[in-house]
Amino acid sequence: MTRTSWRTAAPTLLLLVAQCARPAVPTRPAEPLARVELQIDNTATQADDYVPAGTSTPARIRLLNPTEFTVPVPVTLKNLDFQPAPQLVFATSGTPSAATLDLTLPFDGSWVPFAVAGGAGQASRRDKDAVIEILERRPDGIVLGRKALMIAKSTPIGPPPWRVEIEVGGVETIDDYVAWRPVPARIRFAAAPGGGPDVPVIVRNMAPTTAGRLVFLVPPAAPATTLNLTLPRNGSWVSFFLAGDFGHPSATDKDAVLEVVRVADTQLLGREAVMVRVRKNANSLTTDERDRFLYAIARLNLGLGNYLVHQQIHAVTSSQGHGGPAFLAWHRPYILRYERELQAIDPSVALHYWRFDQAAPTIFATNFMGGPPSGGQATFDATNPLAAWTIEGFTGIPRNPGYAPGQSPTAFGISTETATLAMGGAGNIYSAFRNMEGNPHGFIHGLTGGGGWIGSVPTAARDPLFFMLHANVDRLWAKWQWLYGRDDETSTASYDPLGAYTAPCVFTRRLGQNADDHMWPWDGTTGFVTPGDPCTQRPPVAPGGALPAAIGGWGPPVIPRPRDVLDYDRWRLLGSTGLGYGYDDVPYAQTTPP
Amino acid sequence: MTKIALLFLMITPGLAAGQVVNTDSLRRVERAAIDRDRTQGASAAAIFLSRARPAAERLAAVRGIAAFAEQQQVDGAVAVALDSAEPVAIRVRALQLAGGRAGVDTTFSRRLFALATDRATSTDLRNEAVTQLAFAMFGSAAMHAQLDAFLQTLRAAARDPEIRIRRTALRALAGYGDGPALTLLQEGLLSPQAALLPPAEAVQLLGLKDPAPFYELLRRLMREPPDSTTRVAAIRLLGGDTQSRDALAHVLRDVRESPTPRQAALGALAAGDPAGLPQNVVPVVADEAAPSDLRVRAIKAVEITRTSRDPRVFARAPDEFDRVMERLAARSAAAAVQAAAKTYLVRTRAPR
Repeated sequence: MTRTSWRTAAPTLLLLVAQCARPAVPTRPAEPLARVELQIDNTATQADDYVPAGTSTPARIRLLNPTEFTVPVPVTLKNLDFQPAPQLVFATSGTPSAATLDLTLPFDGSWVPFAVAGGAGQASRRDKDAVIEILERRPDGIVLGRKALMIAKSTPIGPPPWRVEIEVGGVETIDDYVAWRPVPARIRFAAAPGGGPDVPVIVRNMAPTTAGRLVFLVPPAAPATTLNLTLPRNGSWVSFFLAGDFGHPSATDKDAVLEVVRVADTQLLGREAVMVRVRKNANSLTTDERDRFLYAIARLNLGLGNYLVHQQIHAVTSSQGHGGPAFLAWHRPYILRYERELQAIDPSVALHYWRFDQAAPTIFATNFMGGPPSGGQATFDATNPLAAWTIEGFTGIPRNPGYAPGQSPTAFGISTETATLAMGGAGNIYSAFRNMEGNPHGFIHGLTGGGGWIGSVPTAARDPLFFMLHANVDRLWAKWQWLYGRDDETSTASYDPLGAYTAPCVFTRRLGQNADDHMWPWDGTTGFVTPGDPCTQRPPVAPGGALPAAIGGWGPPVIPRPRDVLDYDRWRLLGSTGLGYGYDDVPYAQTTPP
Repeated sequence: MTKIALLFLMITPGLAAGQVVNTDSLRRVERAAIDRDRTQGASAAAIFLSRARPAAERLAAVRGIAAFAEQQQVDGAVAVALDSAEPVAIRVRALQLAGGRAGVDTTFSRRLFALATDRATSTDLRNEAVTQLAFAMFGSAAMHAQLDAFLQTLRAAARDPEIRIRRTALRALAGYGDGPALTLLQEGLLSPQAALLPPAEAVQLLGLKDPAPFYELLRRLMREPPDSTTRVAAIRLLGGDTQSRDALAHVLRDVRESPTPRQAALGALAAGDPAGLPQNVVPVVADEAAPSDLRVRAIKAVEITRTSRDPRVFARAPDEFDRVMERLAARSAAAAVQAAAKTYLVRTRAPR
């Protein structure tokens, strides 16, 4: 198939995106996700998202999708965990003083007022470093959004009436997490003096640049760190795309700040904060990134046990996810679900990967995934959240790596990254590349387990290291796809076999392995789908139900097929929902490789 | 400096402000590196697979290569590995270079079944064959196609005279809860002369997938262990055994016990009885004479258990554990305990 650059197709798609309603995004089967909008100073513009310490600023919050609910939605407003300062305080009315505030959002979509202020003696060090977290208040509550503002006595935004309103994705903030793939955004004047010509503006990164940096584009132009737009004074929206600037991922939530300035006089008109959230090499995380990651994992497992379903799925996955063409395609949505569960706890967390072809002394340490074993168990500092790891009635994490923390597993037979990426052979075809299921994948499981959980299929996912191992397996596939353009679901070079399962039974083409087959467990099938046909046999149970659609709308269908997950960043379909993740060293494909 | 950072430097030496990384250039650089490796791998393979060359030269040629990537090279390595005329060291290395072939090629894996159980062949070669099969047990196509043969081979290897071979085989089998393998391990614990592995290792493997069928034996090993390591291994696996809760609580609180079994008992109680954990650990965390590491672990275990998606979700009346935390947060001789108590209070009882 001849592939067309997305630059050619993008203008049409841009229009489509603007016209399309956003998909419903339930995070729990059969339940809607509450989409919320929070406004500071009771306006949609970000120009007034500046609150002084000790002085009340009015604010309000509402449900954006009230028709999906028949009962009110309880929420809690709070500061972020792991954020020592600056702290905000809240109140339903009067002078704010509480660090958290419980509210109930009516299901008629009406606004609920509250008041916010900077805590006593608190001041921001930069714009957008004070964050309100909106948490759904229920036992399996999830973060519904995070709104960034600044604790400051005055605003850096120019004098009224010039005010802009910026949206990344939708009006809610839970979708303000971008990877390298461009996502839709738009901007308009919320207020401007009438009567004049349209106003040229520049969209750019706030200076000084923090860790997260953005690029902007209006197709077919290439992405750049600045974008010139012209805003009509009548308040019409102007669409554009934004993405993470490859090589500049965020270190913390809301550290990628875009700003809009008027060309004529460089007057600042507005700022909005997002996060360039990508999966990173876990051996190089900052202490803060590591601790947030660990805490989310521990809470996922030991809070209410949602971690367990991932173990239950993998324990019985058998030949659905292993020993066949769908090995890579099955594990992609499987670990994505795990990542989404972590992000429901802390949206700033990504599923960081373990590069198992390198020494990883930072990962195999007592303050991270566990130090050298004692009595066959990984060892942990007392304060490491994983020190209290329990699952299925077990305690601790049995793991006996066949290498020391400072040694590379490649010294013990694990394929290097370049050797793995060469496994597609001279033609770089999927049917050859997928042999990486043996080495490095199967080998690193065995070498790392050494009689511990991660060494066998039924127990592997009890060890949280499992998901970092598979993030790296997925990264290798993503990198191979990017290098050789192998994300085209119509080509056998990208996936083989194409089509859907048909009898007669051939084990390598069994149900679930073909590009158009729905995959277990998300399709809910158990036992023989077709009586008497062994190629249609599913495991006896299908834990977890359909795949919860991603928060923010970026994700595969709830019952994915291999073809749905091949093009994980949907580079050929700008405006479509990719899978919503990326890797720190695998760029978004801007062009078809030769 | 990471590889990716180096690549950035190579392709973006003159990157001006406002420009972004040219990912096409980055792709070219990465592909060139892979092609270079392919070329080097092909040269090394040509030497290694040449039977006419001295063994030392052949081994030196593949030093640093974990596994062949190209199918043709892997085919060559398979042929060398199965050639009994080749030196053992060459055959062992060829098995390693053949990488995961045992997981995808049923013909090759059948040859390995024979090699793995042939006591007449060298220990190193048997060991490598068993290792390759054990790694292929992780859900490979060959394993799914001939599971019984894989299991039979590994069960036979579990009785090999060489302990490292027994260990590799039993580790692979235990993860799948293989009945005959677990019986062998159990017999070894009941009768030391029948032991295939040291007792602590056998206990861990016995309960790797599901320890419930062995609770009675594990209780006995906790009471009358052959050594302290085995006792700790048994304690760890008794979390799900309701009959053992009192005994575990006793171990946790017993000041005569050393820290390791107390810590294992703490973990077992956290796993088997999370709701009762605060009550179980109160005497320990309140005891200023107890090891501070154990006290901090106990506090952390309760904190994580009580911290769901958010602390306020589990709004509840303060209990004795909370009151002890208040006291320790205000004053404790152990700074680490005081800090843990403070963190507990922040994360589980944030101000409303």
